[in-house]
Amino acid sequence: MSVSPGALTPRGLMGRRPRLRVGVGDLPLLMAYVYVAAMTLVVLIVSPALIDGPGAIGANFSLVVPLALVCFGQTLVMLTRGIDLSIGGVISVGSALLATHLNAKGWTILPELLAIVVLGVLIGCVNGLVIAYTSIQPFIVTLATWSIWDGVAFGVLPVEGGTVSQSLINATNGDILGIPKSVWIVFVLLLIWRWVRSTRFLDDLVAIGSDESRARLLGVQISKRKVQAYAACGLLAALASIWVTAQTQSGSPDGGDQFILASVAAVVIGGTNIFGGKGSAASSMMGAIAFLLIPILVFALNLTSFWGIFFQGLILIIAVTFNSIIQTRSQR
Amino acid sequence: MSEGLLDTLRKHRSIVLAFVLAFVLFLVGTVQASGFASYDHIRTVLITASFIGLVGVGQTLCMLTGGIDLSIPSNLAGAAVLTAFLANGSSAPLIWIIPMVIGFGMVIGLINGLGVAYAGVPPIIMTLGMNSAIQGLLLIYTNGGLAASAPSSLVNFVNGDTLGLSTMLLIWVGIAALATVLLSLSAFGRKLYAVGTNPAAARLAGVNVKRVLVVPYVVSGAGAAVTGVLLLGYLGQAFITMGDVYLFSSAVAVAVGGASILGGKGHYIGTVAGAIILTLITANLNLISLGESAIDIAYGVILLVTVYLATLRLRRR
Amino acid sequence: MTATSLEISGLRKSFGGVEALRGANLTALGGETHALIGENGAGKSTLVKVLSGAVRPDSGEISLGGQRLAAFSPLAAREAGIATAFQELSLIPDLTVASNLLYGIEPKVRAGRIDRRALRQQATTLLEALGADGIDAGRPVRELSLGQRQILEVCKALTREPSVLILDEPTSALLPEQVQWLFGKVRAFAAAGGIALFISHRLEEIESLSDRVTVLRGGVDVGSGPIAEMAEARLVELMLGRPVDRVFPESPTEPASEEVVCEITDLSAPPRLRGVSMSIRRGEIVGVGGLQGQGQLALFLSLFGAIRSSGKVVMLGKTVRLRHPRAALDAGIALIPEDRASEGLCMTLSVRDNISVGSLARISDWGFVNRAKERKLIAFAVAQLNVVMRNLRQEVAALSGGNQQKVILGRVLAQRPSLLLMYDATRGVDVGTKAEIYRLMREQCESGTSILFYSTDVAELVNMADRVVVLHDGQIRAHLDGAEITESRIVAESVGGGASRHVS
Repeated sequence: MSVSPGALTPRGLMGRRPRLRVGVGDLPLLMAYVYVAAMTLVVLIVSPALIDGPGAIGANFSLVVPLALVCFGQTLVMLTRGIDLSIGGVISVGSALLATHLNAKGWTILPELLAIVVLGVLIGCVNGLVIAYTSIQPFIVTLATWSIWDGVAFGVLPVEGGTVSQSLINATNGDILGIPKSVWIVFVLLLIWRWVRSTRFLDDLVAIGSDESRARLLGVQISKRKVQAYAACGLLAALASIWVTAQTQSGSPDGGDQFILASVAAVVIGGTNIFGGKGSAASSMMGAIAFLLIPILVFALNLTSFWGIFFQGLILIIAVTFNSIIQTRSQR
Repeated sequence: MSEGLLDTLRKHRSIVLAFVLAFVLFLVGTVQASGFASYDHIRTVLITASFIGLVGVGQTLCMLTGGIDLSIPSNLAGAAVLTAFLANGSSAPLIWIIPMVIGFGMVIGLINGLGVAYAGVPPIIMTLGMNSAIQGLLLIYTNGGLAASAPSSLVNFVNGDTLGLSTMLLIWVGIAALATVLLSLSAFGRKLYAVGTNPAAARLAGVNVKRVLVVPYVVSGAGAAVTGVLLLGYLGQAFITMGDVYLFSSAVAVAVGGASILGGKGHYIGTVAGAIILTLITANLNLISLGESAIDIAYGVILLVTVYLATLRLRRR
Repeated sequence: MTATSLEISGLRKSFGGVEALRGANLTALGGETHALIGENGAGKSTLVKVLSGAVRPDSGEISLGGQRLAAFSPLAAREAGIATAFQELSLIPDLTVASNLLYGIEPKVRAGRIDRRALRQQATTLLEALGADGIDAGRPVRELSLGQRQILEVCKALTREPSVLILDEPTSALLPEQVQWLFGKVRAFAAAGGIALFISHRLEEIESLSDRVTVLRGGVDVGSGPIAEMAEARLVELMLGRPVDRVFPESPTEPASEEVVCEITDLSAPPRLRGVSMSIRRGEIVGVGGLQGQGQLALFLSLFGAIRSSGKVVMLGKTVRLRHPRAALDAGIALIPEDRASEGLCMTLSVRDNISVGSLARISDWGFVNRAKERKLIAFAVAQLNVVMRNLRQEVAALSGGNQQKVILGRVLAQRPSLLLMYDATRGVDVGTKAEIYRLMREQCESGTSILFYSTDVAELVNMADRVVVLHDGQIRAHLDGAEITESRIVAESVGGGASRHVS
């Protein structure tokens, strides 16, 4: 006997009318594209050389790379209703170490780069373990580890400077097949996201953010996934520190701090639900581009660069208020 | 309602422990350096702690409701810089400038509070964005943030004595008393604790949760502005980064003082102890020539440990 | 899959000082449908959670076919062949039906990716085979109704082809045809050799479906045997620990007054509540019945101003705008919420603080709490209720479920309501406390308070209510008065039979 629960009464037993494929809840994810399009348009009108000119793409994407890396990780973490403030510390300490201990040339830089990445993973693992096994909120845990690793960075490199291996600088500059390396990296990140999107790892992260107690009943390995998410975030932050140090050609003991606001802003502008359950690293990367377009826009409009800082804070406030109102969870 | 003194001490044992720890740190310091226990040094330590304590008022309220205020640094610096510029650049008397500056701080706090309470924005993101926005405005206003010097009347006031005791300490004691009265004796205090413990239950009990949730951020904004003005007087000058150190120290002081980060437990008196502890730790670390690096690491470790201990206490119940 | 036997012995589990299981035992054999019954709070759901690996027991053993279960985790349970349909549903709202249905057994392609298209096709095929083809496999679970979710939860368990199938209250929102579908599946499962463990508090369902039954009370098993040998009265007696009629107080001798205390006109809160009109008289108890998920919660929350609603509510002659619980409280309406722990109490605060937080305006002068007034308020509340606690400063979390409910009652009564809303107020509460709550309800009515209460326990409606309204699909389907209030009539109206009468 076939019972069609949906067909017993015209609308089922208190079933809802079938929703449109795209509802108001999807609005945040689309907004990032709108922001980017709007801002790019303005810049193209006012000062096209900033985007269109020779070397402009490469220079701009060079700034996108580290932010794309950290906002990818931040997206994974925020899907579980968490947040990772310690990426600031990871980038700082990575930068400090690279500027003081990396004296090798050629291929021998690889083991040292690997060490930085492993350090990032370890920092992330510790974050994840503490968050998973104690009931301390993620923002407190990562606030604390941010302070700790910023402190270590200061101990290693008290002032900006140091020397960065020329091999490393060469490795991150230039083109492959005529396209800047920075563009390739972003492209690869998007491919990686397409792969991650179809894994159970991501379904689990969504489950944890959507309804953690039910996820436990379902059998999701909550602690393992949280550790993995924060470890991934640490890994990506470590990669970002390598890029930043190579591009600025100097180390900075607190250079990571600016990435905290930027990564959170990128994720929020990108439309990932900060209350968990829905999100996309690709959208976050679009949000990152929107975020980075602000200083360019400011420059194009001939305002002092300080306006950029103001607008970056403002857009985060506006975007997060907008998203919070739409995404506030209703009764399940 | 005759509770013995011992009962009260046992109930607030985390606060008592905090003061014991402060005393221990003090003893450690006296062992290390001879001048540690001198009247002058104690006075300096307490005054240094008072700045952390003053921003700690608002931070305590925010953390009691499960939030945090990360906009304290720019708010504080903004108040200091604005006061200095206005005092030096115009003939307006301080008596007008200071309340106006504090008013600005309250407006910033109000925006934070409205976002958190009415739009449901996570406090950390709201105040993080606000910090950047205010910093931007400040840089625009000062066109780069060169240091500005403080009006001498303010410097004299802050660094001087009133009724034989340091003015700063008197101000701190006064504000601490107000905060204590607010939290322990007022109806609003009860509502705050209820909201911090379980907002859904508080709402169904008839508490206007949203209205309650705005207040901590307004207080924090006002407190940061007040601290900025006082710090301007104490240091004699204002500069853009003068508030940065208070971000961590205020949060850690609250945590050390026993306010459960899960909201709902804790008291401002604990934050007072926390502020003193942090200052003593910094003093001790300076004695053994460990600088900013060690302090940052220490703050992070202390924050983790104290919050972890607080969660253990909760779970045992 | 077949199973030879399931043996549970000596299971103990405490949650922070409250003992949920105190050495429970249960034995079931392959091919058998075994019912587990007991009151709310007897430990049934905890037992289920232990079996399914969601919760680790403090002590005790579980053996399948003679083999002891070594580990207690969802993975271990799955590998041992235990599948569970949970009462609170283990479905993730933001994941699709297909992802939920086939969680852990999704079709993969190379490099560990899930083939989403194949996943959806497989899910659709499975749902059709099971007879539940009305559910769209590609939509998020968030869009399903409660009944559809319950069906999906059962399908999810069946898909695992388990040897032990556990169903915890799977029918509370299902229509009779859907219930029959479920029973068919369970019977087929048992016939194929599996063990079905079925938890319900509906005795007719138990009698129809199961072979054997075990009764749980106070965290331990108090009786077990073939269903044919256990008369209903015996089962109820085992569940309650005392004969039925002593639990409910005597019916009121005087009829309720004619004065209308609350007049509700066309109260709506879409999508769940779609227009309810009724009146409540002074001193009467009105019961709300119906299948779960038919708008009862929305009705209560709307009346209390906890959710936005439209329509007109007149309390004591004055029209009230119910925008916030405070407005409702000021108008004389008070609510005892559904979930004690998450909505009713601030667990880490003291008994005193929990009781007084609802009446702060009344006990404060110029914004400061007047200790003397507070003491009087609390004494009044506590005396009425006989709360068992160490002292007023004790943390509410340390109290038993029944006493916690009393603290909530204390807070609510201190608010001096004219209309008391009670939503499933006796859930998870022991029999002794239940009797006290019933007695209290009668006392309140005698002193002029009106009560609107919702209960999933039809016996409560029958024994306590002067009138009963049955909700269906967000509207009142039937209005029963006096002698019309019988269990069979309420159940019949809940599922759609019988003539409907609307309240004018």
